[in-house]
Amino acid sequence: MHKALIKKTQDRELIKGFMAGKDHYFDELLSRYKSKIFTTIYLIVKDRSVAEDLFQDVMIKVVRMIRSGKYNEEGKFLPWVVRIARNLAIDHFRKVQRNPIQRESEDFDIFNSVTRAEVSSEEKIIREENARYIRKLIQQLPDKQREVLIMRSYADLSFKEIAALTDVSINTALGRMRYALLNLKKLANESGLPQGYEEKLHR
Amino acid sequence: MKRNFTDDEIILFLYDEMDAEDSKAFLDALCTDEELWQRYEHFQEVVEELSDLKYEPSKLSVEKVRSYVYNGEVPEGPVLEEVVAPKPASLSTGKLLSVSVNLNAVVLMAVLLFVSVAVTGTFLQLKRGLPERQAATALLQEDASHFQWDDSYLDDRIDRIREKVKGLK
Repeated sequence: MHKALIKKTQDRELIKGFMAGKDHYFDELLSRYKSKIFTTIYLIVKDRSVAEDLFQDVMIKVVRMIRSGKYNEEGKFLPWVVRIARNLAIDHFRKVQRNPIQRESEDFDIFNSVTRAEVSSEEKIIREENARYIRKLIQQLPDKQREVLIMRSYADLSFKEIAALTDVSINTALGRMRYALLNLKKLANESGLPQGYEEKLHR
Repeated sequence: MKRNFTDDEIILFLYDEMDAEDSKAFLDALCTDEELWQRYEHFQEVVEELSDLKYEPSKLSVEKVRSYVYNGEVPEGPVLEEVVAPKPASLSTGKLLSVSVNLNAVVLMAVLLFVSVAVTGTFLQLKRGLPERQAATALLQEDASHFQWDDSYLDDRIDRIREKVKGLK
C-alpha cells in the first residue's frame, strides 16, 4: 500500500496488516503514537532514561502480543498500549523499591527532548522553559491525580477508560482530574511563572 | 430555566466528552452566565497549557523498536544505521518483473484476438458481399436488355456503369 494511503488507514486495518506480515504497517502505528506513548511513560516514571528503556520494552511487548494474536480488536490501540505501559511502569516501581538506585537530576536533557515546531530560537527557549515548568508542576501532584491527568491529557484515554483501568467510578476519575487541574493552577500561582509564561498566557 | 453546570461537567466539555445536547446547553449557558464563564476559563487555561507539553522518544529508542520489528532482535548499544524497511511487496523487483511479464502476455493475447477477429470479419463480409454484387449486376443487365435507348448519351452511361460493375467483380 502506498505511504499516503497507509497514513489514512485506520489502526485496526494497520494491525491486521501487521499481523499478516506487513511489517512496515507498524512504522505508521509507531509514528502515529510514539510521542503520546513516550510522553505518558515519561510523566509517569519522571526519568528520561528510564522512560526510554520502558518505551522500548512496551513497544516490543506490543509487537510480540500483536504477532501472537493477543491483541483484542474490539479495543482501541492507544488505550491498550497505555495499559501495557502502565503495568510495566508499576513493575519498574516495584523493582526500584526493592533495589533503590539514586538517579541524577535530569534537567540536562529536557531541552533536547521537547518537540517544538517554532523556528524562532527565542520562542523555542520560552516554550521549552514552559514545558519544563509544567512537567515539574505535574510531578508535584499526588500520584492518583497525576495518573488521571496524564492518561487523559497525553494518552487520550476517556474518563470511562481511565475509570475502568484504575478500577474506580467515572465520578472518582473526574474528581481526581478536577483536583489535579485545580492543584496545578494553585502550584503555578505559588511557584511564580517562568520567563515568558505570563506573556504567553496573555497572547 | 437556568441550568447549573458543575466543574466536572466543565472538564467533560473541555475534553470533548460531553454529549451533543449537553454541549449545546453548556455553550448557551456560557454566553449568559458570568460565573460559569469564569470557572470555565480557570480550567481552560490549565488544560491549554497541558496540551503544549509533548515529548519524543530518542531516535535510538525508535530504531531499536523498528529493528525488533524487522529483524526480530533488539541491538545492544547504539543503532549504527537506520533500519530500512523493505519495500512493500507490491513494489519489489520480483513482483514488478512478474507483473511486467503478465502484462506482456495480456497485450499479446489482446493483439492475437484483435487480428483473428479482424480476419474473420473481413472474410465473412467478403463472403456475404459477393452474391449480392452478382445479383445486382444480373439485375442491371436484365433491366438494360428490356429497354431500347435512343439517346447515345444514356447508352454511354450504361456502358460505363457496366464497366464499373465489371471492375467490382
